[in-house]
Amino acid sequence: ASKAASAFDSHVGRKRRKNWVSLIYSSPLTPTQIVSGADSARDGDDDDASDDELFKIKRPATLDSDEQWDMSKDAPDDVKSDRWEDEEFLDSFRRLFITGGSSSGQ
Amino acid sequence: MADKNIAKYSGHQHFRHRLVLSFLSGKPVLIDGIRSEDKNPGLRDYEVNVLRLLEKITNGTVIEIGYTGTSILLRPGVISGGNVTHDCPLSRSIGYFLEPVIMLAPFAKKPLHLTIRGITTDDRDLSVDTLRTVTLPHLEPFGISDGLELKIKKRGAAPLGGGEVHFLCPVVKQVKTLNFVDPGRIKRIRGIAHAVRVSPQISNRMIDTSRSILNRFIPDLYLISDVYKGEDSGKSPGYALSLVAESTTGALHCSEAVSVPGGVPEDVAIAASRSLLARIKRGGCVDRQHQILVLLMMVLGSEDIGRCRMGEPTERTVQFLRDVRDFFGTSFNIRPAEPSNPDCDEQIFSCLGTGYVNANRTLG
Repeated sequence: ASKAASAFDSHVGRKRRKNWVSLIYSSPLTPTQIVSGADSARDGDDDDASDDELFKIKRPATLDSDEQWDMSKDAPDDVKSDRWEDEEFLDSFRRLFITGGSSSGQ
Repeated sequence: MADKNIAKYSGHQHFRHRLVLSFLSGKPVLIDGIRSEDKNPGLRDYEVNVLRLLEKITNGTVIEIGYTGTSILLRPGVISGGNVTHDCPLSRSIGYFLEPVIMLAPFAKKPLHLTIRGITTDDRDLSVDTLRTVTLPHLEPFGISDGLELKIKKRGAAPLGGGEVHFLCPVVKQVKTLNFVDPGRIKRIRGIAHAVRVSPQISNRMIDTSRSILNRFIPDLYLISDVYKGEDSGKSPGYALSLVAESTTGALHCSEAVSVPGGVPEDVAIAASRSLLARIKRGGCVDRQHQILVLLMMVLGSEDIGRCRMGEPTERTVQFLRDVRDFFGTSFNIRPAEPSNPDCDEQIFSCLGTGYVNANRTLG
């Protein structure tokens, strides 16, 4: 039974994981949607709301301020949150350093 | 030339890597719809400027910009290299302009010696410190290292800049195939703090704060204060801290934080240090911001399977992989690095190199 359970777990794990190859090469999703994990099903939502209007606003005019910049730096990581004060959280990646010992995971 | 040989794109996003791919593959590229819905449509000054820079380091390039500035057609020429001087506009920092140059320069006819002036550090693009300590070492596994150098002659903070950087790049015949799947463990952290046109004490305050956060993880922590005085410190005040962590196998992760008006140096140091830890936690053998550079070199590698372990691809990487297929026909295989570990988001990227040979290089 335990064997079956572990097989099931690994199967579920695989399900949850993104299949990058098919997302990148054979899906129409934009890179933003792929990375944030949004699904394509949500796209059609706001179409029917504006059906009876003669003119549709194609897209709200993009203001200069919220233009997407072509920049090489990542969006800043969340560095303000309280978890950075949490000793347990900080210790959770100690194993990534040579000083971390081999106790966890390895 | 037949129309089907042109790569076509729409929109201003991912502008630079499409130009780079065009130059390397020799395939013309047409980009339209550049901010055509915007109140202020067309190319921005920095985009025109980057085109001008690429025109300088190549020979025979034809660039046609449409009447409204919302479309451009680029017919790539030969990458020529040589001695080039360039002034960047103040709308973007030097990193924006240097990145595409770093991707092209190894495949030039002659070694490139580029003198480039402008803003050396800002919060959008990689700073010259990161380019020097992280970007250039990422080229080393591909056999691009001898004579590869970035010299920071003068610093220039935003908004007025005034910095000057010399970039020297050798030419290679072919890049080596990468096989980098062991991220190792972090063995040391290095950092550069600099402060221009403000009290030099600020550098030390950043170093002290950063040390207090990072010292618990690693004793091999060496943070230096880089001093530039007088003329060499540019026209505007500013300070920043850039950090780099190196693993036992040579994997690099980096982070950086830049001063904001009215901020304190301690906040800059906290942001940089925590950001570095967050990136180490994401794992992989390659820094997140350098995924594109590494993947590009893998595509150009010799005709063998190159493999590299990385964290989850970024948005830029996703689009880049799609564009690479348009230009070179190469698609990557991406599979989880540790299939048995559901918490591990790291992936192994592998592809067959195109066996790109630098035909521009002068013999002898």
